[in-house]
Amino acid sequence: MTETAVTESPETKEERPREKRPEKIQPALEALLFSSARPVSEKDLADVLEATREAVTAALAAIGSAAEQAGRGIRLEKAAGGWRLTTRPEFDALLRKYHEVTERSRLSLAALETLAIIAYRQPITIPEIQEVRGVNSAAVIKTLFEKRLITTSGRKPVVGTPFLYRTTSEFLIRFGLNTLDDLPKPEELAEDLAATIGDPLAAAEPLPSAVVSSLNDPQDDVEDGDDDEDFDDDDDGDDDEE
Amino acid sequence: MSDEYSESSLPPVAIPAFSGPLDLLLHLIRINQVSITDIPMAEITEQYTAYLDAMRELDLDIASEYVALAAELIYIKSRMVLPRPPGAPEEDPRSELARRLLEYERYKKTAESFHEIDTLRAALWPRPETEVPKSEEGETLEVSLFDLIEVFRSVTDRYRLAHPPALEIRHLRFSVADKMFQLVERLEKSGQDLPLLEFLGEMAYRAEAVTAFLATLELIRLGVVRAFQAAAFKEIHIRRTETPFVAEQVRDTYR
Repeated sequence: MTETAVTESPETKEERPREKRPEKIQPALEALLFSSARPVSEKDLADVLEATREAVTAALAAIGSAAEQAGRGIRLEKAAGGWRLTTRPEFDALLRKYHEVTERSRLSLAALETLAIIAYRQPITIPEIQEVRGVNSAAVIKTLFEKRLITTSGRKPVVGTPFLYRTTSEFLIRFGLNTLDDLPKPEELAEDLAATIGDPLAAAEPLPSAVVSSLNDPQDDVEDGDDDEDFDDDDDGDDDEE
Repeated sequence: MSDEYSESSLPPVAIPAFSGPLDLLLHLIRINQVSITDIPMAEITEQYTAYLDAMRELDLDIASEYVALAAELIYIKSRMVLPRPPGAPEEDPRSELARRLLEYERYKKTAESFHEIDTLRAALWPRPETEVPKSEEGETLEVSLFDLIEVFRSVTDRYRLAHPPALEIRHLRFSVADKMFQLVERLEKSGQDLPLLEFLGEMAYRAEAVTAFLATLELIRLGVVRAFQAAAFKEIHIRRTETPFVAEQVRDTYR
């Protein structure tokens, strides 16, 4: 959002030297994270704090590990190309009791199946999803759309020009992924990604070697050959550019 | 093994919710402990159709896709028993089904992991989204498709509120008898003459005015009322006569 303003006037911004000392920006950084519901990108943080990216990264790491060591009620996590604070999982029951929340709305198995297909094969059309699932998926697509976990992504230039669907940043946040590249292979996903939840910084570098090597796994060439590039096309590109 | 899951011995309560025909087929492959790439077609097909029958007995709504897969299974089975046409490439008729099942199974496993992660992450509470007051000027926000839909919806809602249906097309039925009663009652209550134009002018609809006019003519014919005017081109008045007005008779004659 603020990027356009920044890129328009790079000269005026660069006139003032950016803050390089992480400890100087750390309190302000904490305040920014505290006030934000959605993940804030490092670039946005650096711009608003008039600090270097390195300083922001270091300050984030300091906040993260401090929260970890001091036995705090909150944790720092990276999701959808940004950083945000959440509560620690052990206080879920307490918070639910206080806020009188019984249960968060769950996604049905059919919805999760469809979401998995979209996540790995995006952009994808409804007929292609139904081809994999072997069952009509229109109602499930609607649910995912309403929950903002997927969105349309143009139309496929084939007969009928069907809508293409892709996952949203809401999807990345919900599943604690930084980018779509962090989607593990289905076989690895169960044990590895679930295990990373407790570690706030783990999401920054999830399964780097495992994912990279498995992407080139010849056994999976049937579906993945052309999909790997698609993962990079996501809109999170804005946040990732250095 | 096939007897174990035949229709008669199939426990009707033990039907889990399947997310589709492939899910059911995978379930059968799992409980039979056979390989996806080497499916015993006869047994699996039999069990598959037995499940469909059981579901039908339970009045479960069976999607057409389940039936389509049953047909496909039978087709594959029939191809396996038929001799291959001479010169045709040696190909397992089950390979396409196995490929689909393997692919589906991958996404099903992913979905299960997604569920696990979703459950774990539901315990993490982010800061709730609140309205942070923004400065009016120069603020450009990314507008999503959902926001646009929301705006469109609110506009149509507002429009509907501001513009209640201008023209309600309804088939209105007026009866001559009702109008006859109305006119007689009116004349008797006031005890005065009534200008015809005034009476007809009270009618909201063209059809109603026509009906009222017909009713007036009928009453004149029956002698219940009399139409008169003071002079030529003067206003026409209606006056009640001494002739009795028999309600029952009117009701039966004019509906």
